[in-house]
Amino acid sequence: MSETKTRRAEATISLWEIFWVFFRIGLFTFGGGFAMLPVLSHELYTKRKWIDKEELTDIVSVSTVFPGAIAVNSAFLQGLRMRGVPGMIAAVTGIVTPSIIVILLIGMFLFRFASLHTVQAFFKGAGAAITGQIAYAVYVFGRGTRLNLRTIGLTVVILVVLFVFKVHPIVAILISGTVGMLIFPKGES
Amino acid sequence: MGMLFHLFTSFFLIGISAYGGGIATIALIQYEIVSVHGWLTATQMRDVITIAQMTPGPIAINSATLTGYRICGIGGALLASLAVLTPGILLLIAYILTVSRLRSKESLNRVKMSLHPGIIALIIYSVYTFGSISIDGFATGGIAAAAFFAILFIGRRVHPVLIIIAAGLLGIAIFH
Repeated sequence: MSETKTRRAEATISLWEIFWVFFRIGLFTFGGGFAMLPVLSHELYTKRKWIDKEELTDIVSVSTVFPGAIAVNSAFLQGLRMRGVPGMIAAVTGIVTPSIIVILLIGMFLFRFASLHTVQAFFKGAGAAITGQIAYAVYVFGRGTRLNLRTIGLTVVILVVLFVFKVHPIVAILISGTVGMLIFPKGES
Repeated sequence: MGMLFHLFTSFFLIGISAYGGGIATIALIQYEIVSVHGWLTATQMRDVITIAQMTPGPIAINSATLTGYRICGIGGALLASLAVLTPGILLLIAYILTVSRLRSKESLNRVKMSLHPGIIALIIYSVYTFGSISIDGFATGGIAAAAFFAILFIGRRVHPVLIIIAAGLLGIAIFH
């Protein structure tokens, strides 16, 4: 991930600029997740050449292996790569600040008016639609997974554990991580 | 002080399963916030997750900010947001200090592949847990189904947030 090619230009990039670019990325990525990939690519690669295509792919692919938002993890890695720990702090602060400000403003407003009948009617409709959106996420994730007997089997086992035993949902990640490492042999990916 | 500690540990746990922005964390957020601690009612939880999904930024952080604010004000909002980011950042630091030197792409892919079934299971489970607090009859069930197909067929041309807003306006027309 550390190429010398882009390093020279990076020495002159200020922490403020790093903060500002990631602030913009944070501001324009509604919903998070993979929605921000085109924005990330536009800001870091197309517009500024802070990174080359291969590095971008590397950063995004490492980001998806770790918990946390892909956007935040990418900001962490890219900030660190550009300016070390201060760069990392600038990038992470930059990418989370817009949503925290927007969310706080909306939160203050919402919690004041939440009990209004019209607002509740809005949330009843919008909330139902969110369920549809989560169902769509099942479809998207399912399509992105290589389906075979082992992945389907493990998914079903975890679902049974969740629905039947009503355990803490974190168990799903624990089972998947440990059993997965056992049943997916090395060299197959 | 005890409250802030619990807020931190709850969102730290939520952060552990927040893969890929965190739609998979919805079931976990509901479990921690409503079932374990009773910090929000089911309806408040529905509102929080709906807003979190409609605003910029990852849903896990957004719901952390909102829930933290609701429980402990601005301090709670910042603490919960920090807590949800912590597991990922700690693991990334560990990765950079150790594994990245080996440049082992293969083992990263293996971890990713191993976690995938758990994440899909959590998203399916979230359809159930969030459905149970947002669907209470034919009208809301119909809106959920319509939203699914709308995002499936026109989601590339029309931003999903606009579809959610349309559903909210429909809600005002039907339920008000």
